[in-house]
Amino acid sequence: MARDTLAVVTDEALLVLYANGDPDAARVLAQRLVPRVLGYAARLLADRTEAEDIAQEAMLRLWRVAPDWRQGEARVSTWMYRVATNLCTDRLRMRKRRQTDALDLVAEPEDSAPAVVTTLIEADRMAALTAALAALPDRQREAVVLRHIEQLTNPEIAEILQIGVEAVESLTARGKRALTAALATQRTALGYEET
Amino acid sequence: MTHDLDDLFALAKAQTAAVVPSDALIARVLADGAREQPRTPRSPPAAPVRFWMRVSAWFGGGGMLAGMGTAMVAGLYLGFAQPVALLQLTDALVGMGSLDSVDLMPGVDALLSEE
Repeated sequence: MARDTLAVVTDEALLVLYANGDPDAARVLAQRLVPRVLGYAARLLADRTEAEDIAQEAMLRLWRVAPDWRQGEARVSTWMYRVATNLCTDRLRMRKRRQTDALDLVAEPEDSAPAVVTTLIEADRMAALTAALAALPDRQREAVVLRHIEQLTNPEIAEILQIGVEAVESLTARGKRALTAALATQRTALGYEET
Repeated sequence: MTHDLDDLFALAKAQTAAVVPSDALIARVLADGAREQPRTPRSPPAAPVRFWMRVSAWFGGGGMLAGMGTAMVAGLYLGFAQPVALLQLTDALVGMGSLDSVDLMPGVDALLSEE
């Protein structure tokens, strides 16, 4: 299929094309999905290298499931988020088993911090948010990141985390309360005016 | 503080959206994709034309060949077995004997006879 035509094809149709041997479908799917999964995994893990491993592994699983993909059952992006979430959860559990302090890992800004963070105050704010997110329980952190950073809907998050919509609402509400409490003491240091 | 949190989320979203995968990562992902991609099903190689297929083609197909084979076997049987009724008929035809009557349906008399 022509490359410009592939640009407007849905992820699901691209996956079918890939399974049928279309040589360009993989490239278009990778261009669409890898940045999203990489950004999401980097947010959950606060580690760019590990996030790259997660993105590659999630894409590998997508390639392998392609021949058996059943259209209409799930969206490819939702499926990818679910796989990435599970892979990140496993990584974080491994970290904990190794008794690595996650807070120490995320306290320092990453070398590969995006260029968007142009000021020190923004870097401090991001570091504070990353640290506060890392302190949340896994499910709360995943729900908050999916809802407020990835900006997915509650039903989409429910499908990704395989829980009910009410449970998603509860997780995000509790997560936000915990983040607010964790960041409240740093408002002045982060450049927010005292109220 | 809620506004502050929303501000942080917006900043994080912009940062996440700006994440650009390295060329090396994309290359690894595409290499995996190429390795795992199902190959398009190839058409099976043409079967070699067998001797009997060629012979049957000469005679107009397998059905015709089967009919001719059956007729050949029946002819051989009649030649070797030489049933009496057929022998009388052939003798008469070649002038080696007289033919008074030929009983073409020898079994019917028994069915038609009344008790």
